[in-house]
Amino acid sequence: MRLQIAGVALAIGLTFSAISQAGGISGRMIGNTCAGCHGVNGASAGDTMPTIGGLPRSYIENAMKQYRDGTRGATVMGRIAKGYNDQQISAMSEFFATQQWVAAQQNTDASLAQRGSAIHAEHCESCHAKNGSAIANDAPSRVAGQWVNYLQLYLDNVHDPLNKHPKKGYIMKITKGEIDAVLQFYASQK
Amino acid sequence: MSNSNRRNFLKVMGGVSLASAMGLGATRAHAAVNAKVIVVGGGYGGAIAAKYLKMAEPSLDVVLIEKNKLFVSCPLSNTVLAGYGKIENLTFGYEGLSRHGITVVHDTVESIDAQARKVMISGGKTFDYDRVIVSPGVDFKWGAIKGYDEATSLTIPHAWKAGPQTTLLANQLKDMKDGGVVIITAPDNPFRCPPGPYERAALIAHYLKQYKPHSKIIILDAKDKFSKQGLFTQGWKQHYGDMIEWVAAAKGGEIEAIDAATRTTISVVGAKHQADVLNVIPPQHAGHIAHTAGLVNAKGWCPINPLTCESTLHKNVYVVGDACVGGAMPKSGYGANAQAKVAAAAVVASLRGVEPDEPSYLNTCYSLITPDHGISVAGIYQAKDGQLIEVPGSGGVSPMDASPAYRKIEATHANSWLKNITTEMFG
Repeated sequence: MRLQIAGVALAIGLTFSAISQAGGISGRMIGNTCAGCHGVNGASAGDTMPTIGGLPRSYIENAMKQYRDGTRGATVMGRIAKGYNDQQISAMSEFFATQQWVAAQQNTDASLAQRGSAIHAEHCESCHAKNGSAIANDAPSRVAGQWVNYLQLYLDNVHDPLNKHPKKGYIMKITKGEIDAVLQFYASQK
Repeated sequence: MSNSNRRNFLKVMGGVSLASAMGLGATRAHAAVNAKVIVVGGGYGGAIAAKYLKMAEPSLDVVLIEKNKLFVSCPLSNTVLAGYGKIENLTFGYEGLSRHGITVVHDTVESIDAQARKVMISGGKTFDYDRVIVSPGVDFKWGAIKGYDEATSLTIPHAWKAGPQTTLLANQLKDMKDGGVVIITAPDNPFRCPPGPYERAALIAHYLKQYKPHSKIIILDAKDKFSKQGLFTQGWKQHYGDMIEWVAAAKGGEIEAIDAATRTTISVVGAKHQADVLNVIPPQHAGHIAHTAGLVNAKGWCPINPLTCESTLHKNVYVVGDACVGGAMPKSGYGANAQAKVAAAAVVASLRGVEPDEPSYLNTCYSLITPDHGISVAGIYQAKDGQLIEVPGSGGVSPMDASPAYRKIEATHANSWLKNITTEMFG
């Protein structure tokens, strides 16, 4: 059941929508339906649901398609993604990519975050650029200001075959304590 | 938005770019902005309708009329019966909606005159409107079960509208002796929150297992099957052994009367069960105002056009949430939320004189079997031939063979869901 577990955390992170057309349904129309779990305009208030407003368009689109075809682990997102065609996924991705990023409001451990800053620089910055806040298209998911509890769910299951992190083998060599520190660093970023 | 709709839209909007027209607050050029929209009911449907009207068109005059000054969420209220949830954590005020520029009036709507476009509240004060969105939830069909009426519910709770009723049932469970019998009666479809009675049984069992382990829970059902049945049956067995017994209608589960004095149920086949704590979830229909406003069909629910959520019985009146005929959509908080957004968008489009955007509907519903064992159902819905149908091949329930970790993640998501959806409503 590890497969399912991993996917779950991943699945949770994504949503949709905006101005472009989507097989007759606008990205905003679709994206608004996601708000019950992912917050208004993708800014999540729930600490295990990722904020998705302001994530890179391609990241959202890829993840939705992976949820849909079952190659990305999920709890509920695999079932939800099957409800949308390519056009609709494209439209919802555009909608969320054009929303303002709103950093999660969460407490951080300053000393742990300071330690995490160095770990990030050594292991993560080359992909998650700008201290994890890069949002260029084709960039990896933004992690700075994301909910720690969501990222923790994701990383707890990084060993899962359905976890799509491209550097998972690398991540698994980082200790639990180091990951905790890095997550505190991301939480301290806005 | 179809191409032809988009062209019309662009024509109407003149020089305003499509992007800004679709965005928030960029539409003041349009003549429709001075319109008045009234929202009746401030729950999962109404609060969202008011908020999204204002988000889409900030200069609209939006008035929300809601009887209660505080909203108590039904979703997750079974955690109070489990002994760990707090009713105050499920309680919300309307100040956030006021801050968004919505006029909140705490009063009871007495009538809606769809021809004159007037809403009258208690005391006779009236409000004119251009459009009205009605989200009255459900009311109980008192008398459908002989011996059970509103007065009886003060001693034999339904707890199907969260608040004092929830607390009453929780207190009765606390006062019950170990070895007692709890009976829950579940109504036939359609009713508010299809998985609710079965989550309730599980979370009451969670409490009893810790404090009164020799007790028993019997669900007397007016149906032969129920929502997430396989997952509930599996979870009950896994965590509570034989503590929960479900009696299908075909096995005599459907009740026709109760004797309140002895907390005894009488089934349609004459079988009697006596409870130490009796929870009657009565049959339901659309909230009272939907009936007085002439919005209901013969079965007591409100038919709508699924493209817009506009009533098929009265123009310029939209009905969302548990009260409407939602086709394949369950009567859930998330469903009400999704319908409210469709209605709000359709109202704004109609005030602008353009075709409404094609609707999109989603429902996601979590249930708890223990605080760490969650299950879910999801559905994506579309309008087709005047009906709301599920998008083929999508949605569904959690897998039967999921791991404990998967169940735990779904349980944490139930809590994050509540946080997000109530922040969306009241934040």
